[in-house]
Amino acid sequence: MNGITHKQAQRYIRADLDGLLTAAQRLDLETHLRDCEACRLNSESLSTLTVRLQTEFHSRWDRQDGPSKQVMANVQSQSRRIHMQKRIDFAFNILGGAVTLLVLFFVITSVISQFQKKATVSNGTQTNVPASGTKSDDRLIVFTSEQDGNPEIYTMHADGSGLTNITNNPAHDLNPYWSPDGNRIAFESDRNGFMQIFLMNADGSNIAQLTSDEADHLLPLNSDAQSNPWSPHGDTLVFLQHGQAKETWTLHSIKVNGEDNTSLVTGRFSFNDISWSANGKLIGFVLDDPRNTDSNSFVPNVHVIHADGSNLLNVQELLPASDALGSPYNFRWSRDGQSLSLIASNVPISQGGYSFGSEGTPTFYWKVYHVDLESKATTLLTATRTPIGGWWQGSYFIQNFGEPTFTWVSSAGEITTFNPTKDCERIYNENTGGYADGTSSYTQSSNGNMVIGAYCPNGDMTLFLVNSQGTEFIPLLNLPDIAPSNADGSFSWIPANFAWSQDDHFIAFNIFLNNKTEMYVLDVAESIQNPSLQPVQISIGNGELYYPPSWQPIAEEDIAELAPTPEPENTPASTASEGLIVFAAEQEIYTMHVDGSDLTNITNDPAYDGNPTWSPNGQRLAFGSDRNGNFDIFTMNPDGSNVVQLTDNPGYDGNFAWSPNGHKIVYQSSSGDDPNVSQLMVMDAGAGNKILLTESTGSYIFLGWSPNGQKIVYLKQNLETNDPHDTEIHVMDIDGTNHYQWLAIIDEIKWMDDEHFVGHGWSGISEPPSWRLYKFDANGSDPTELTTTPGRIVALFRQTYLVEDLRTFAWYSIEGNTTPLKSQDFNIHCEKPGDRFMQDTNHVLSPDETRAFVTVHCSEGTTWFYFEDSTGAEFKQLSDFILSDPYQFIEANWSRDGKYVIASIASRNGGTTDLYLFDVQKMLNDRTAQPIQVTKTGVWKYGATFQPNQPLSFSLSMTEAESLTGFDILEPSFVPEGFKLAGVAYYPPTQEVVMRYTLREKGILDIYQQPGELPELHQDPAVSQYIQHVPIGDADGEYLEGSWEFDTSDTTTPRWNPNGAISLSWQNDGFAFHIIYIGVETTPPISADALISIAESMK
Amino acid sequence: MDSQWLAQCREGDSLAIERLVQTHQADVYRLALSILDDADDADDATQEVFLSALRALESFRGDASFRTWLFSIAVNVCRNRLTRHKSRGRVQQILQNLFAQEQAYPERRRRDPEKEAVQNETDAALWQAILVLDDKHRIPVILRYYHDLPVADIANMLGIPSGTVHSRLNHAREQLRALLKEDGR
Repeated sequence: MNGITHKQAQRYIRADLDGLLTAAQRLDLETHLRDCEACRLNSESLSTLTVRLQTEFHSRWDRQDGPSKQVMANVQSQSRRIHMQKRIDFAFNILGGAVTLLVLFFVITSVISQFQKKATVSNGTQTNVPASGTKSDDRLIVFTSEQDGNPEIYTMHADGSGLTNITNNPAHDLNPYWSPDGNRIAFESDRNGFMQIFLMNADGSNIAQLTSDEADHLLPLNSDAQSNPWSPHGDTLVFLQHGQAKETWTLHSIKVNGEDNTSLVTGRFSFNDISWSANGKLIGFVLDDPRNTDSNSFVPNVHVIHADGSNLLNVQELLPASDALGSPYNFRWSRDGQSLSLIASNVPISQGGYSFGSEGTPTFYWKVYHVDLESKATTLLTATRTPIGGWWQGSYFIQNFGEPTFTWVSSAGEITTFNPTKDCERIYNENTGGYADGTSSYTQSSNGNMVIGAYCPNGDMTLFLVNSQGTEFIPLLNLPDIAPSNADGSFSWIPANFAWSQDDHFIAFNIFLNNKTEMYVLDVAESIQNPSLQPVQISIGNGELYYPPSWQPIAEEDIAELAPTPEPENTPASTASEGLIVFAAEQEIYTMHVDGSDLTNITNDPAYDGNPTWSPNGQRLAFGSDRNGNFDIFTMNPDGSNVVQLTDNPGYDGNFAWSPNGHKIVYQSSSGDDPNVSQLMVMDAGAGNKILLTESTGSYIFLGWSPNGQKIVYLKQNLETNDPHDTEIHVMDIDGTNHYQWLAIIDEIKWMDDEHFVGHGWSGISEPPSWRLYKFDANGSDPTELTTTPGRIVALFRQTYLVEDLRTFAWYSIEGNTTPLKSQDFNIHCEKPGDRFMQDTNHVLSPDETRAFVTVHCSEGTTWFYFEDSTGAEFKQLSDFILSDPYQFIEANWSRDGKYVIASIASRNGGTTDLYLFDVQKMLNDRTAQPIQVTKTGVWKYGATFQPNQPLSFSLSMTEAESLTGFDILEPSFVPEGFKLAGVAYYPPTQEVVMRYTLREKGILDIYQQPGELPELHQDPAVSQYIQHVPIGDADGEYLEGSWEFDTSDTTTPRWNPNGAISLSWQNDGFAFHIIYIGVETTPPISADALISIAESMK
Repeated sequence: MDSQWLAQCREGDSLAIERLVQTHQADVYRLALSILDDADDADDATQEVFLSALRALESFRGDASFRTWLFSIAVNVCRNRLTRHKSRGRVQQILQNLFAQEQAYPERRRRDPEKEAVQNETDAALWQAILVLDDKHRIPVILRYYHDLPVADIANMLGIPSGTVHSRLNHAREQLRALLKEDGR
């Protein structure tokens, strides 16, 4: 034996397999193995395993050539979107900050603005939960029972009284249906041999046999309260007649007097969901697909036929071939009977089962279609990656197979989830070695309400009522020990269907327990008031019996009135006050009005012109151009006039960003001899005072100005080195002093105040990956790590941030603890969760950073539009406008008033984009509202932004303004005589509220209220000398006569007009106030005392 | 991959992106295939890997080789796909139970879906044993024995210390040997 021990040898053997042995160690090992048979055997065994593994892997995978050519094509087409997204992220960062001069500019421009009264749109959400005690209920329920030993038909009142056997015949009498007027009952009976269709009165008298052919006849099974053999007028019945061939049935219609027995259509297997349209002209049913040649399978197709047997239509043939009828395979008639909606899916059903196939099969979807039966037009109403359980007038719910949680999407796009088994007691199952799960079943009524039965592993059953929008979940009933589970944790039996009365006042359902079936009847309206109320129980018979009951119809006026589904509108929004939109396309810069009118090429130069960027006051556009030989920065008026070249270096000048007050521009320059060295520069907006801030090899990503415009933050990346820490975040004053830097990868920052900002970014390579949020001190202290999260931080709001983790969003407070404020499943429409490295969602923050326009890209094929607030309290689908390709959405920008979003959306082949206007306010009220396509030119457009200088719109009431701002607005109890409140305006970027009082169109008195410090309105020493300090209570008020104004010849530089206006500013209780009076005529003047009195009255 | 090339990809230069994809697509695909063992899925994963990489390119710091960095993304993409497959498998099972229980007209009852399994007979016992390994152990085995990667690179890709990779490989080997012994082969 040599110098290493057996234990060491074993370690060396393992290390050798992994290539971790040094030459000397290997020599020691080889020597040891020569002498030690046990070690040698072990080594040989491991070597054999190595060879087997390598052989197996290579034989399994080497034959594959490589990815398909489609991979390259897809990566190329989609990479364009990624690049554009990065551009817009950059562009958005440079638009932050307060705009001090804007305040005064608004005052001047708003003198001429028109007052508009905003139309309020009511929200159509409703509940339709039946009221209790609306009628004295003497209606009957008719049902089949074997309580006397053979199937008989019984009636009783809903409270269990008046139980009567109305057939009392030794034959089988079953499956009763009330006529629409509630006077007659149709039923099946074999009293004369074959099963035939009969009619009788409600008391069992006046029996009439309708059919007499020598064949079995069936009424449709009343399984879901949707099927009904009676025509709406009660004069005709439909029934099924068994054919000669096995499993062949014919649908017939017959008048209630026994005349006109008409054969309508023949099909294999039974017909499902037979029902009449409300106008009595059409009959719909689900039938085996006539094209199905597999004799053992059933492929359900929705068919419609005229009541006279003509015009049979297989509705399925109007849909794409891959869209089979979904499960549950039913359909819903429209109220006018001219159209229907149905749920379709590509889940394979062609092989006789609802097979999910093997792993790696194409992804599955569920869709809701609306089918106009006259025009044969089909409309896709929604699509999801999760099974849709039910659809009702624009709202629907989804539920993953086998999972207890339901998710509703209301017609307004609000998403609610509900787990009816969440309160189930957890029970350990020794047989399965795990905890048993609860389960549920449900039935939706024809009014959209739903009853859910939830079953716990301990056998408890709880019934819940859920309204059609999924916004109310009301416990109705708890029944202990009624649904016992099997040894393997599954349930031996749960109710399959609940039979609703027409007005949703009652439900009836069967329970099979201890080898007996009983029917339970529950008064829904009373159970809402008193969930301890117990249902009526009636014996149905021994064994497991499935006899659905029928509720006696009640008068139409007793049925809850339903609001009509809002009609989709696609009319251009009133956007007159929204100014211009600028965008770049094909090396030119264009403007147009928000509705797409007056499209103008404002550069019209053969050179490259791009990256148009509004000055904060919206009066100038900065842009990049190589019209003079290399890239330089220019500005121009919004109409393209008055072009000024700001830089004139032989190298590159670009990557620019306006300061918050529009006085300065920061930019990147490569003007030296070494093209790899670039400089970060700042200059006046008029091109003067160019200051070198820093220079180095690498690139700069500008992250933002401080609110007061005194500091900038940027990211510096050095691409030339392999130093992993060569990504730094820098902050400095705009004269290049007070320069601090930290090692960090930061994607986005948000200034908290003029000294502190927060920033987030990826931690770098780590497994699992993590994202970090830091708080930085602009004075150079070490940053504080606020959080580390395995999910990607996708949005940074004013006080919160949002983390995306595969399937969920979680909103957190920036300063708060690690418990999320709210969590939300965001990709209910997607089958695949996102990848941590992929940005599956996109959040474009509103100007006031309290809301976001959200896109969710399902990697398997669609893009959905959502709206969220900064806390997650509101998260809803914005519009049912859906993109069918995940990479069609390119970028978006909000209008400065937060009303609209302009989005750039690519064509399916990715070659061009067009701009779409989303009316956010309208869509929040009506999810069916569609965005308006405002460009129709086939070129790639990017950088579309709204002109920011929009006059304030005084269209809000005080209450509306308070609900928008979230803070109390102080209203003056005193205003000078003659002044009337014209309206309230809210300017989201600065959270300013303005109350406007007018004096018979002769003068305007605006009262501004804004959280935070008083903006520095009067910095200029030439102006501040005129300020008079006056006490406003305990506060120091600044009274001033005169105001800033802009000349039409120079819209960048404001000038002081000593006769412009009089104003009073003060600070109180965390808010800045500013009253300004502008007289159109000089008389009657308003005095300083009057302004002070107004201010005093606001305390 | 030089920095100029990466910079061009960051700028969305289609030629640079094409070169990037062409250079690495075969390797990425083979890695995806070896983890996912499904050609179509590997195709999708390959596309996802390149798109992820293009998005994350700003974060590539150059402390590992670009290939290793790309592979680390690929491993993550594939792992997520495996997780999704598992949950889909569970749904499938639940669904089968659900439909087996469904009560309706006899003629409306649906048959249970047929199960299909295609077995590769090359070394069935070994493959079955490999499938028993969890991802934590199986992926290092594939990276080591199929892609022939050094332990240090595997550590980089998985973001774990080299020692952990070594111990996972040891554990996997022992488990495989035990499973094959049980199987008598």
